[in-house]
Amino acid sequence: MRAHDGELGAAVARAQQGDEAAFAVAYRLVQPGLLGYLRGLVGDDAEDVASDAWLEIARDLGRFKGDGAGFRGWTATIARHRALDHLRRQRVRPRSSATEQDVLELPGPQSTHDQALEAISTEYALELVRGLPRDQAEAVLLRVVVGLDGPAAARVLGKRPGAVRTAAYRGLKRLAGRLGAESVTEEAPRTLGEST
Amino acid sequence: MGERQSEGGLAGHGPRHALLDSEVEALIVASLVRDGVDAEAERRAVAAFRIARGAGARTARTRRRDDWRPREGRHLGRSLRTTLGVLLASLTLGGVAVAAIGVAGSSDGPDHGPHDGPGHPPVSSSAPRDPARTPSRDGDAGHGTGSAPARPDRPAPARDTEAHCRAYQQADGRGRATDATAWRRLVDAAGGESKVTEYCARQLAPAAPEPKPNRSHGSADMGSAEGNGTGTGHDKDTPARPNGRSR
Repeated sequence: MRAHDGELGAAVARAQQGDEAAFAVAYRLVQPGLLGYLRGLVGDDAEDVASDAWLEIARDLGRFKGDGAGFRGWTATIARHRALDHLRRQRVRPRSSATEQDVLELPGPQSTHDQALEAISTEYALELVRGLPRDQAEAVLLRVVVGLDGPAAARVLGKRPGAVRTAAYRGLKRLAGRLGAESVTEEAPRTLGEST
Repeated sequence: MGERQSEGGLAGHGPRHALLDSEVEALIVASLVRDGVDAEAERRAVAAFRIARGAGARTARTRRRDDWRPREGRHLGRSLRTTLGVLLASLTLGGVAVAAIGVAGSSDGPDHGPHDGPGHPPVSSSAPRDPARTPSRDGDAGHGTGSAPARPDRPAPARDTEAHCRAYQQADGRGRATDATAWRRLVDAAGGESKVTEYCARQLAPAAPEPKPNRSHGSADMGSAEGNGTGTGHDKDTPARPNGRSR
């Protein structure tokens, strides 16, 4: 799925033989997507959670078997577990900030479609994604941001591929609806109020 | 990730246009994924790698969750094991079947083939029953399938002994047709070469309640076998057996 999967697979294989530079290459190839995924899960704490995940990845690298795409799935699974641990620890401070209402109240760009798209901030996109039901958000992030294929995303989530495909589809439609609606302010409340 | 460049391509769309999936995807990627990594974070990860390497983590065992090889590969591995298991089982069964055929065939003298049928139901009926049972057992795991089907109704050693005894009784006198290993085992089981005839008589007695078709032929053979000096002690013993086939 990703252009660098071949390069990544080779780097991982060399890293498993003890090549430190190859490990750094793998890190640079994987970390951006992983961090994007974690941002969707834990927001601002993504960097910390990613650091924890990489400690585990480095420790267990010898156990891993697979190619570049497999490595993305394996690392995403580890990162996800770290993220869920993190969220569990944080339950005292639930992540209710990303309710749909909050998303609605974020300053959204007006008038035209392309303006809306240009003006969208990371913060805003994040809140949109995090406003999705968890299964939809994760399915979208794993497919789009981490770059996993359907079966791999399903394995990370421990769900059936069909369920994940559906969740990703609904999540994207929902995001599309919100983003599209932002540019048509009159209709926004009704559109956004609907749940798929 | 070429989608990222497609952001600008949206300008032509009208305001009510529902976003395409690819556009949403591009937007998400552009918003959440930043190219480049934090140098400090990378340094920490590499340091962790170095420590793990020093601790010999490379030899760690691969758990199920660490195996991300393509599904086909893993499936192939499993089916290969299953295939081998099936193959092994069928070889075992084949061996049993061949042994059974050998026994039935050898006891089928040219004169009285048809009459022999009822005398050997355990052998002929148990062999075909096994193959049907084996595949279901095989489904869950490839292990153990080699030995499991070999003991269907009664323990295999008993049947082996019986088979060897039959072979012995049929073959003896015309030269020893039983192969060396089987013969040695039979001798071991009987407790000595001289006791084989007696031993076999004991072994075969309960298993063959109707030895009639065999007797004329068999006893003639055995008679000559005894004449060869395989032991005279049996003569006292065997008549006590109601079904003693050798005498």
